[in-house]
Amino acid sequence: MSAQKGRATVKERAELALNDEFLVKAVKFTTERLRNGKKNASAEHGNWDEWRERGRQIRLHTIAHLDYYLNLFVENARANGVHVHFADKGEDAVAIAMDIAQRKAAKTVVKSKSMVSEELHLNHALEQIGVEAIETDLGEYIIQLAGEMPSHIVIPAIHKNRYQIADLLSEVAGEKLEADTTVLAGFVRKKLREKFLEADIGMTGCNFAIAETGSMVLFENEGNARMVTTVPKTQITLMGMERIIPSFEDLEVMATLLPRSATGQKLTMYMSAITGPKRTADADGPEEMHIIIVDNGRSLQLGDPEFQELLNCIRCGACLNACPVYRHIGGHAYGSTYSGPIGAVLTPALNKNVAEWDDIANASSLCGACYEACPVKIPLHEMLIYLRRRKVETGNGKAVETAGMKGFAALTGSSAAMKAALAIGKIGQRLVVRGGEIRTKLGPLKGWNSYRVTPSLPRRSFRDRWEKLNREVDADRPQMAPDMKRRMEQIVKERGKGGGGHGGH
Amino acid sequence: MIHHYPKLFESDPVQLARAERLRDKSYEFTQFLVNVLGVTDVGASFPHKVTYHPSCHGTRLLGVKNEPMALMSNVRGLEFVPLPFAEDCCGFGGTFAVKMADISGAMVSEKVDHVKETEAEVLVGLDMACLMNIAGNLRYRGEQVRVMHLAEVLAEGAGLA
Repeated sequence: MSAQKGRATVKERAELALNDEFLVKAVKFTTERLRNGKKNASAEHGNWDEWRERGRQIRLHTIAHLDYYLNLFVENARANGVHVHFADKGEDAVAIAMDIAQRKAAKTVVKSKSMVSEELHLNHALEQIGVEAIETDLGEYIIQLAGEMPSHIVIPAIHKNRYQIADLLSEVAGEKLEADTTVLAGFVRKKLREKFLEADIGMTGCNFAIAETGSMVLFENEGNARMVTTVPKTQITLMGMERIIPSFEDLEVMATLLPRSATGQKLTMYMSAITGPKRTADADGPEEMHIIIVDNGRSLQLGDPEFQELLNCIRCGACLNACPVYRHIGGHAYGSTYSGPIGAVLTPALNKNVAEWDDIANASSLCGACYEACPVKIPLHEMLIYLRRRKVETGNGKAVETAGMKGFAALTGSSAAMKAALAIGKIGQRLVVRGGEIRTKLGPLKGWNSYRVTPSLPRRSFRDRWEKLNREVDADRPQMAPDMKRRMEQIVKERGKGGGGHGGH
Repeated sequence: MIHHYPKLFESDPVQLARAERLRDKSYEFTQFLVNVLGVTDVGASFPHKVTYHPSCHGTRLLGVKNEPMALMSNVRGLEFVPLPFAEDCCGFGGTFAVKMADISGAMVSEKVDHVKETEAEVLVGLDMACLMNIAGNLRYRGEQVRVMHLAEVLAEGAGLA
């Protein structure tokens, strides 16, 4: 994060990332591994698109009835003995957590991975009141030491290689640690054991909240969330208000989709469902349990036909791993807690301030890989267009671009105007064309021609040839064969029903 | 694009009907050849090493996947080499290529690295924007790989061009 300070736009931050050889290499290496893992795991499971559709339906249904399921969840959680709090804004959630920490006179808090906690910048707030917050997920621990934000939803330290990590951990150890993953993980494990035992509060995120039982479910691989939820006397769970699913039956679908999409695992090493604090017969668990349900801009998406589906996200990170832009610039370039395609839409949507929708939505080629990867089929590539459109519609677009688009519309909207423009272009290009190519890096061609050459306009374009071509075609146009006609009619019929293999959701 | 027109006219029933009619009778080139005309072999011969870039909008939005493969597999002498990371976007993305020139440049450079890995003589595609982008980077780097639309391959291979 430190290096990103003072860089206001995605473009500026991306430039930094593109020139960081280590970062690009590390991000490519891990995202490739994850996306191949996902591909294999989903193919092996079979009927993947049907599972996705099922997952989508569960999420659509839950979000459409979020008030009902939230209520049900809260009632059941309270009946289980959980203290449930609602936080409208991020700072409200922080205040609630700090209040609990102070009431418990807590000195240390151990945390398992939580994106909501990152969204709230909670560690910083706790430090200010003298509470030490320790991340216990290995990746989160690393970026906490580095003073950075996560650069990936699932793999927070994806941008670091093991040598960089060894340097960070060596500082903590006070000795030079070998850049060997077993050595490094072993060191952190030992270090964190001490922290687990002395912590006053365990803090977690929440992958899913089960309405019918008031349980919260955590997926993890390191066992640290188990420690966080069993050792300290008090547990605080931070939960986005949209994390709800109706029942354990629905969890089966989510447990099928989430680990496979995230890491290519059939199931994470640990999956814990926690239903209330320690009961008399329980051997371990917290004596006091709090769940803070966080809105922080989420409810603004409810009822918005273009963005409501954002709440369906299950934070698997598959869209990041599939994204060719993320692949080259990593997460920090997005400038916010949530990165990649989901972050590019979620961050502006949660803020709901159209004027401030910087160029984050422009950092996409709209290739649709995110939608294809998404286990609940969120049409992120379309949402990016909605963001761009809303910015222009509210008068926050760039004047030059608006003028350019108007000009383009005028030219392409009229055959005569297009013809005239091409004629002028053919004369004008003589100044810059060499051997059929334009290589100048002046003016608007600078960006394009820094990496490519531009083809010149042909001497005779298709438009010029069309009249003659059309006559030739007309002259010997045969009757369409009956079977061709049948096939065509069949396709048209299917398309009329909304089929035909396009759009697809 | 044409397949997205109906969405633009959702609130205008007259234009919507026209947009739907236009969509229903518009085809991507290989879809028309294979699915409507029922042709997978045009009798072309093209004795070259060829790799193929499946465009994002063609595959993901229009669902063009098997059709170009069917056509290429029937071209005599055509030696097909799969493109590594074929499904990755080439970095064109319309205004993206200009607005985010450095990111787009990194994407197209990587795409061309993969094309070179295949040692193909010809890169084939179905989307002129991708082809212009990839060809632009190839020429910029002084590479001799030919860049062709599949229609050009079939026409040249059948002696029509």
